[in-house]
Amino acid sequence: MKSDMYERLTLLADGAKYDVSCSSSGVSRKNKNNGLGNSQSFGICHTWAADGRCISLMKLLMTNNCIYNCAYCVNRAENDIPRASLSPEEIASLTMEFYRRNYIEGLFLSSAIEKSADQTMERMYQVLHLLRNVHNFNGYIHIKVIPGSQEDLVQRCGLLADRMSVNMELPSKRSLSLLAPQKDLDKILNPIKQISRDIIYNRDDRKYLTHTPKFVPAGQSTQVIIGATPDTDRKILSVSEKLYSQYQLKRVYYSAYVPVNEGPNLPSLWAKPPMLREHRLYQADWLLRFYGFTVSELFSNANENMDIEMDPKLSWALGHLEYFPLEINRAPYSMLIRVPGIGDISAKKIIAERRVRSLDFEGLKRTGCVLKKAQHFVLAKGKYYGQKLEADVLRKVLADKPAVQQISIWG
Amino acid sequence: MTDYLYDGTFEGFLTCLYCHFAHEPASTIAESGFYQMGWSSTCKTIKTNEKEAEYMYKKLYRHLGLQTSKDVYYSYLSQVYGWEDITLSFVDLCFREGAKFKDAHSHDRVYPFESLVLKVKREVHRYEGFVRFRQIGYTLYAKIHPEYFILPAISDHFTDRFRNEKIIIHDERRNLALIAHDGDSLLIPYSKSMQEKDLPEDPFILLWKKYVKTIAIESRINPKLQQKFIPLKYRKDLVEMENQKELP
Repeated sequence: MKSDMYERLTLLADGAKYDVSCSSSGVSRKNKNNGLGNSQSFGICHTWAADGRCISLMKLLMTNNCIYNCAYCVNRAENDIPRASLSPEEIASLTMEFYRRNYIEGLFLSSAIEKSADQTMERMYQVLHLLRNVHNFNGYIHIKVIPGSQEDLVQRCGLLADRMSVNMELPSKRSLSLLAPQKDLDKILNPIKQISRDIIYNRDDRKYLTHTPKFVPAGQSTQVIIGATPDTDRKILSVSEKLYSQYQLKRVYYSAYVPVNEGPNLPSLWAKPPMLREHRLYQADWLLRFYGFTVSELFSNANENMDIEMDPKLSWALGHLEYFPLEINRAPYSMLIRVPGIGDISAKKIIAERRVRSLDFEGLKRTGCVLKKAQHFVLAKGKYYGQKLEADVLRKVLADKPAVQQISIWG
Repeated sequence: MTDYLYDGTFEGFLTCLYCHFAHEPASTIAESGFYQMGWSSTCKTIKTNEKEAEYMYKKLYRHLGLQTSKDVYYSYLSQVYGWEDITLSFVDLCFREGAKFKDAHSHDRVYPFESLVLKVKREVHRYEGFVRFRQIGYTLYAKIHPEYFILPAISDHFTDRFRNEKIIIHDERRNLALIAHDGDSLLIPYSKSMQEKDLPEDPFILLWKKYVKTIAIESRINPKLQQKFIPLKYRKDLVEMENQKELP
């Protein structure tokens, strides 16, 4: 181990911290070839950083030496920051050593673009090759695709990695040309399309050919920055919806923009990251993926942005009181999960239990749902336990009180 | 109605269950060391019988399915006071009223059992992430202080994951050690001789601590949120939690 490893690791982890994705789920694999590691389909978090985000994978940049000059990024070319890089051998052995001590679940590898997209991607491939074929590493690997690299390289990496991701960063062509003029939407969408197509082909192949290696078995994901551009919630979620339905993405991550640079097209350095908005977007994202909602339903009242005071499901329910109250002993699953306060786990419990016996209000309490919200929207054995099924009344009872905001003298 | 006493092993408990159904219904099952006699009860010490225990487990498996029979084992791993009665009451309900009652989550005899199992399962899952090995010679050694007796439950996971390594996971509260190598594992009482005397400095600890510190975004620092995920009681064995502030 070289003596400046400590400094370089610090620099490159620091550069990678704005990447949100850290999940290690979606792949179940036993330890093969007498190597190191395995993978659990539910993923394992090993620790949590001081900001409350889970650390499952070791997030690293190969280098923070970048030729691009994206306005929102710490590592952009014109920033005067210390630059460093790690060789493929160093990253591979660091991953192995951390993994042996059970610090991490695998590697998340990203990189700045040092010379060209292809050269960077090739170096990242070297890391995967070392880990999988030389060290027999069976843990989780998530790799970023560098927009603009060759299809063949992406394909080769995909056969060794578990998950791949291409960062959208900004949800529209206009924002992209404003803040990241060297990237364009096609450069980003092409690898997304390619990976989604190859995953489908690969799945098909494996039905007939037993020894076909898996291609990106944990699927692909992407990330969008929130609050750096005037894009609305509706715009952002429509993009997500499209990515989920057309390209079968596993996740879209939302990252509240943390101002790191000054620039004419950027929020000021004093701006706080819009954390609550990020939270609401994640809530809406879950509604899209697991609760059968569509974007047009969530924005039915012609608003472009979501209600900050209440979660999107509650705000949908208050706009559609005609569906409620719902008898928990008769409602189908698809409607139960639309009740504010009832999630998929409690809905499944309700369905399972009422096959045996009907549920009363006490029983509903024990399913683990958020009774504070759910009680206003359901009937248990025909009886209503809520306050009153009227939008104004419920809005008053259930809306989050806005936190007292400190008045900023900077405007 | 009789109180059954057993020796504290899972097989012993299964034998008691067997006697409960085959002979006389038990009013309570307790480990002999922890039993307090009531004023009107008769008690009987049940000798662990491998055959009856195996028969009972097969019955559980056939009647309640893989998941629930595993859950019975998990509730044994909790080893909290009175887990035997909670489990007895649940199993008794399912055998008398029908196996479908295992889905009646809010039932007074199912809910306590499920809550107990959930607690154990949660800790098992946590410890799949929270074990921290330290390299000592050619072995990887980890010390843990779990609330429940989770070593048997994490054994398969670590045995498979570190097939090529020699690992020791030491449960200091129960003074037991799980040792695993080459796909085989063993649960034995811990003895000092397993450990070499002076711990050499592991250079990766410092790197790891610095990594954990660096990866947090300053403008989002939120210790409350962090504590929700890593309650304080788990922190003494997590190397990255030690003196984070003093790092260079």
